[in-house]
Amino acid sequence: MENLSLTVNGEHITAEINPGTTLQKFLYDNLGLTGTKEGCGEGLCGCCTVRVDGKAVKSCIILALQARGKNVQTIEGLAEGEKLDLLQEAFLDNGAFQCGYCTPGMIMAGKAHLDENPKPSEKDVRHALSGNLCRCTGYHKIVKAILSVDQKKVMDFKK
Amino acid sequence: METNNKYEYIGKSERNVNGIEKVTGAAKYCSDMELSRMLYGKVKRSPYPHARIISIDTSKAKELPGVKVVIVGDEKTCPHRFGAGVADEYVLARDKVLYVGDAVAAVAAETEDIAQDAVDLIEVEYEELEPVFDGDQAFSKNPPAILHEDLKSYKTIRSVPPRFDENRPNVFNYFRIRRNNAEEAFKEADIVLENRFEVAMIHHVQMEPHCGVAKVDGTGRLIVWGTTSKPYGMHKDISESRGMASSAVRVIVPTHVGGAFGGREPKAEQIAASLVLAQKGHPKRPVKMRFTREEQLSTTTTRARYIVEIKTGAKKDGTLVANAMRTILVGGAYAGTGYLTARNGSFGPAANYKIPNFSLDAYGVYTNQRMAGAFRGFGNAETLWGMESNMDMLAEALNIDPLEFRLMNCIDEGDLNAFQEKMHSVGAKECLQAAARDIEWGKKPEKPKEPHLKMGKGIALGNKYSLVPTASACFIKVHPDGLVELRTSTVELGQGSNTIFSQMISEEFKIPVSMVRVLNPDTDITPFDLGTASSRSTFNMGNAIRKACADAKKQLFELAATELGVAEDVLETADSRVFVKDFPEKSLHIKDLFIPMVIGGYTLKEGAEILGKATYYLPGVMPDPETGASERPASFYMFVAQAAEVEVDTQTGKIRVTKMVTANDCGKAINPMMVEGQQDGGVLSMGIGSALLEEVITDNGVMLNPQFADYKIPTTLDCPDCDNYKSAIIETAHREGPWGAKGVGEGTMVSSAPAIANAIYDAIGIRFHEIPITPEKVLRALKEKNQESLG
Amino acid sequence: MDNFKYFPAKDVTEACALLARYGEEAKALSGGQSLVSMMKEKFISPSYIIDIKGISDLDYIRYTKDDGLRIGGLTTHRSVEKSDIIREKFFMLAEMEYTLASVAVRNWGTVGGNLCSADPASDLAPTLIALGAQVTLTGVDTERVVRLEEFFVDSFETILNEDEILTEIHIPNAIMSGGIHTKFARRATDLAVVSVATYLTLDVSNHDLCKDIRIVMGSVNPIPSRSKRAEELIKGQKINDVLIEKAAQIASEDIQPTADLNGTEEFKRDIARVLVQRTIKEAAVRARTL
Ligand SMILES: Cc1cc2nc3c(=O)[nH]c(=O)nc-3n(C[C@H](O)[C@H](O)[C@H](O)COP(=O)(O)OP(=O)(O)OC[C@H]3O[C@@H](n4cnc5c(N)ncnc54)[C@H](O)[C@@H]3O)c2cc1C
Ligand code: FES
Ligand code: FES
Repeated sequence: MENLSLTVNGEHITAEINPGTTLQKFLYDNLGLTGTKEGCGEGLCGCCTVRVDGKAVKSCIILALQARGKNVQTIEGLAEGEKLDLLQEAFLDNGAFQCGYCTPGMIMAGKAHLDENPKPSEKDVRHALSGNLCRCTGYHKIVKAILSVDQKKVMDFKK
Repeated sequence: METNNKYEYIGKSERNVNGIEKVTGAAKYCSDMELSRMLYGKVKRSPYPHARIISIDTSKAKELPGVKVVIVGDEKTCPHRFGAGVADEYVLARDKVLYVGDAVAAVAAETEDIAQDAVDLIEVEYEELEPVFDGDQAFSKNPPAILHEDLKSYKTIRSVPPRFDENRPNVFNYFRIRRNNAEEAFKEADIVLENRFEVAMIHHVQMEPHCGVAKVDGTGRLIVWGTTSKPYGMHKDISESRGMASSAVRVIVPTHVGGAFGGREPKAEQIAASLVLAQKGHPKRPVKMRFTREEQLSTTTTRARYIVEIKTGAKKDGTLVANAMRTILVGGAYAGTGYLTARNGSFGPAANYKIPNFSLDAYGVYTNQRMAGAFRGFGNAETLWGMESNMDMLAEALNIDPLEFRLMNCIDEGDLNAFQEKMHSVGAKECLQAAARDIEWGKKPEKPKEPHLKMGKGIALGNKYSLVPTASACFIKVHPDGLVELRTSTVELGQGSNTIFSQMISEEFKIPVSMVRVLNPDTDITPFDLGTASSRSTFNMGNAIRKACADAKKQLFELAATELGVAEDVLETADSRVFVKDFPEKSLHIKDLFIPMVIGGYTLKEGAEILGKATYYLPGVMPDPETGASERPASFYMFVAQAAEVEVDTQTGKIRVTKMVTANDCGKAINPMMVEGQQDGGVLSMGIGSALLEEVITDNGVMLNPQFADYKIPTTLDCPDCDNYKSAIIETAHREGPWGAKGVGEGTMVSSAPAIANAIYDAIGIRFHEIPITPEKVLRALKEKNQESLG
Repeated sequence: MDNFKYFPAKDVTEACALLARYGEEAKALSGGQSLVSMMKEKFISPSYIIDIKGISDLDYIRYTKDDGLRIGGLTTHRSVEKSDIIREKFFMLAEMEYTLASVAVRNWGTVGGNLCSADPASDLAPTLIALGAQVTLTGVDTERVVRLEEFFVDSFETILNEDEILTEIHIPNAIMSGGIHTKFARRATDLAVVSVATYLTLDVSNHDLCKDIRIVMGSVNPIPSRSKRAEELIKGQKINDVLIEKAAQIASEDIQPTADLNGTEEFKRDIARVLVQRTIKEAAVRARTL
């Protein structure tokens, strides 16, 4: 067993874990953050996408111990209290999900990209999401939702 | 898109009512379920496609610490066979295994890892038998292997029973249509084209792998949670296969299921149930059986390989005179819903065009592969792949524009289809026109940047029926605070049924969608529904909801009439109030109909609750066994036309779909945004995927590509850009549909593959007879063509 | 994969010492994007994991005009992709990184890890070999610099000693040069079925003459490999379409692709030929304009 201390969704956490525990398993099993799903366990579907120090990563192929001292954000940590993130709102407005199984990963990948590139082109967005599979939506509305956030910001500002 | 809408909630793109949970990560799926003292199951699977089980030694597995239950297929665990149409499958194989992956034993243990280790310790001795994989061979009169020697003695379902073939022992269903005389009529035709087309086996790839959780409650009743799309179908499978009283089983489906697309046969749930029931004594521990991604991709239901032989004849002027087809669904070891797919794949070709002479023979055959069954389109994407390719070839032979040719012949309101049914609610023409408009039919694609790139456009027409006999039932409960609750067994699989049902109820009660709640399916609470399949929910459950709302409102008005001292028929409801239509000030809040009670809670003086209930039942007319003739073989038809523009790299064979458009006639769109969602997923993920990328590749029955790396579903970069994809909604109302609505889900990919293949033909002059059309196939065909032109 | 002991190394010295101590039972872990998957699948089960990802000294990108480019072994793919200097001076490298796997893999996976995995489908290896890269391998008391093309032994096998880690990649500067990496895959995110990286240097006094060229192919041999025959054909010659076509033909004959789910041998040769042809053409154009 190894000691792990890190920040998850703003909360400082210490735990004793098996060294082989992946970050996904740690978040899902140990912390009960079931939004971070294991869709394939080999880096191919993106269901498990979370942010480590702001960057999107695939938590199923990272050892939890490698997140030592880092800031991890999962889908559960995106809304600020009652207030949803603009991207979450955009997903709702655009119908950018169906079964929702891929959605946490999609949103985290999209959010990480928007933070790096607030005014992305469609090509940027499609590239940023190319490691996240969705079977339901054909991605059309997901891409639109992410592109709409920039517009939304403008609107929010006007309000 | 909102067309002259006179409704408040119907026709509006409301947000998904389950959306907040989904975008915040709060949504719980069956695979997220944890119960206290839960055990975890794993399955021992056959490595052979066809073999006799000689012995199974589970002693080592049982000794492993942490192992609690080990079961094998025997009289105790699985006394009876089950199946959608033919009872041909045991929960765990007995005597024979029939495909690689067939379940022979199962273990429940403290952890998944222990269960897997135990499974690895189970020793099974087999005697290998000759397998059959090839569709033509399996279909033949003397097949190399017969999977079910006692097929004729198996129990079959009474409603829409399968029909076997005396001479062909692997045939599990046969269906035929004869309208007039196709063979004679070919003589009248100026041009007759006969071709054979095939589709490869593909998988649904639902993002949530199959999962079942089972437990026995204090009274000994079995409760099973699952990822099924048919709670009552699963209920029947579970009780019948064990000879249990149906009331001894309760099936629950969580509000969130990670996609279905037809492929949710309840195997994981069945095994979980067996692992619970096999435990000795009380209390029994709950068991979770979650398939791994690899198990899901390699052992669960697929869309079958399909063989479509088609012969179509036309007059010089382009009039279709006759069409004859033979289709074979190359099924798996067990028929599953495939028995119905094999039959109902004939509906698409039967209702696409006006063809006075039509014959069709549809078969489903067993082979030594996993079960093949329902898949978005239910056989019709496969049969229409053949028909719509052949139509393009015919158009070329006749020197008529492919769009014109289809417009000339497509079926219309009042026309007879091949069942001799008079068609109603047909948007074929409008769909074709919309697709042609959006792809700019007739305008040459932009000239490619490089000479080795070739571009082309293609179009295809399709339709998808929805089945009969059909029934949906529901309850509508009006709560004292005005909230209206729907109890329905329709499964929210992501398609948005909870949202459109909420909108329907909102419309009926004139309350915001937030004042409606939809309960998740639970056979203790939510009444019968045939299943979330066949694009039937909006139409069937929608009708049941309307009726149940009327019932609930009647009760409401009865109560209010007494309170307000007016007649019932002058009352209306809105915003949780009941008021007099012409005198709205005379009103009361719904809560005022209830009496607050001393310790708490509310009551009515009589009748317990305001609880509307209704069944929508449409028996249809069973087709004549010889001719298929029927006045009502289906509840409704959805039409679709799709067009594609492709770019083919003639040096690498790589195909890029540069533009894709779809026009779907779904009747009234209750929620246009959700209709679009169905269109997007059907066309972009499954349409493009099935045409160009997806294929279950096997070697001697072993799937070689059961990972996302090799089973390739489209990514963001395989779909055309937002500006190059268009979806049109054609609202051809149906007189029996709720607000004129029909359905949409399955109609969305039935013409995608032929549209893309027709575009490829336009680009490089090569006709492909099988999908997926891979770069290697393209290069090979181009080489052959070059050699021909040289030689 | 729980049966291992985990050691986070703070610096190269400690990492090498730990690797030396546990020998073949140990594995260095950088991003784990390959290693963790392999361990999950039980392809390998090391008893000791030496986590080197925390060695921040090895995460750098440095450039000088005289020395060229130096990339620390623990630099992520994403840093390479985003680096302004790499975009400016070694565009083909940044461009290749943009198409490697997906953003999330690039955010965590390292260039050292990519090379040390010795996956025949690596996109990085052919690109770096084309650019004439050398790598520094640091052991307990040793440090050696080898040309990257001599680093690979077989598929998933390198010349690394048990105590060594790859600490640096060095790419020399060049003038009048240009190159491109291209891969063929069914989907953009897939591993390459065939990849080709070509880097071409023109004669300073005669811009039509090819002074030097490296054509490196990935996925079609156990290790990334140059087609020296094709290179020789072009070197010193005036570049034209006929010559390029000939070179591409030769290059496609020099490879030993194996038939698999991605295609037959013949198909892979066809693709290799096309890609070699396209990359030489484009490299020549870039060499002229850069
Ligand atoms: C979904 C997915 C898609 C991918 N697609 C591509 C692709 O298209 N093209 C491509 O080129 N690659 C691709 N990769 C591979 C990816 O680039 C590599 O996995 C990654 O670069 C490996 O780096 P890492 O830091 O994660 O290495 P690790 O996984 O940590 O290590 C890999 C191996 O190298 C050893 N090692 C690591 N670092 C060092 C070091 N500094 N010195 C000595 N030994 C070391 C380890 O012991 C191990 O054996 C893909 C990977 C995934 C998961
Ligand atoms: S679960 Fe991590 S990428 Fe699929
Ligand atoms: S919404 Fe179902 S997989 Fe993306």
